[in-house]
Amino acid sequence: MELRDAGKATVAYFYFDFKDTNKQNRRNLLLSLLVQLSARSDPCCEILSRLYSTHGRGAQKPSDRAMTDCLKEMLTVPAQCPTFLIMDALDECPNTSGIPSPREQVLELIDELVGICLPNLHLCVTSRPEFDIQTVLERFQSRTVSLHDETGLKQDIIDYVTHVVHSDPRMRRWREEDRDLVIKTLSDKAGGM
Amino acid sequence: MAAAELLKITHGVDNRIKGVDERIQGVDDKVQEVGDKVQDLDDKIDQVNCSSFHNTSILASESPDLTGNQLRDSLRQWLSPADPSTNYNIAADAHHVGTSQWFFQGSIFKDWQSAGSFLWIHGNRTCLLAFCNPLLLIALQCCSGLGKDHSLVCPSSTSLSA
Repeated sequence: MELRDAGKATVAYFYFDFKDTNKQNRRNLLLSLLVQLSARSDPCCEILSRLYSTHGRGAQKPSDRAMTDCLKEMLTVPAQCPTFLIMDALDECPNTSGIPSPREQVLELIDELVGICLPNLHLCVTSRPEFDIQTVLERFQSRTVSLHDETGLKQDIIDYVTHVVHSDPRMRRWREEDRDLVIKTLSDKAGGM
Repeated sequence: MAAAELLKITHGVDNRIKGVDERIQGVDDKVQEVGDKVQDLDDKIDQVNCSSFHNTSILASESPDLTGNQLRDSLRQWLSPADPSTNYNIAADAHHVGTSQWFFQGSIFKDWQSAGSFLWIHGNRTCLLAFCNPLLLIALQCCSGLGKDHSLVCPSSTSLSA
């Protein structure tokens, strides 16, 4: 079904960020997704308000388990429109400390969400292809885009570098062959950086 | 004589087997009854869950001191999530017009968008930076024909118009 036929879809997103300790674990992710989904959907808001009620009307904080169940309930609301969840830069979620590590916990959550096979859930994760992430995500045998192999992305990089070199006031004063060398070198090396 | 006795014994055993059969049937019936009762109980639990769901819904929507927006504010304050729009804005500002079109016009994105599924986009840091993630949100909005007023969840006043 095309989205335009459904008329309505909900998008919630989260950026893992190694510079921000509030954006580095499963709890941060769940808190954000629950609030975003409940902001846009009345049934989701009702589900979250029940969690609120059962936690002393906000006197206690919910556990990760309770929030995971709450998220799953939101995603399985019978009339739920397509829901797009986008998680960016999963590799910026640390895997250095803790058993399980914060990253392992997020991977467990993704595994759980994908495992319930919801037709309305569209989940997208971007990350560097680090071994632990690859091991879990490749198990789903789903759609994968390897940016390194995409000629479209290489062309994007060439276009961008060309644009900057030709529009930057300082670079515009360079000799043409220097500018060409910069464009060629940066474009060639970009894929391997 | 021996044959007659054997026949008698066989007949006795036969009767006992029938007796055992009847008892098994009795046990079977009782298991069935227990099954039915469990089903009844299950239905009743469902009813109770359903009515408590509605009660909570009514509480949430009709509570005199909490309007929908106030309730959402309370929920937001309670959970105090980090704001992902700051990262979104940084990525959006760094976005070079025209990039990533190959992805949004390609079959993998369209398949993912139309069928519920999982999509993993991976690449090294440079590739990920060059691949502009905010476009993903923008493309969703454009392709879904959604109005400006609703449906895309943005925690701040982030503009998603392409």
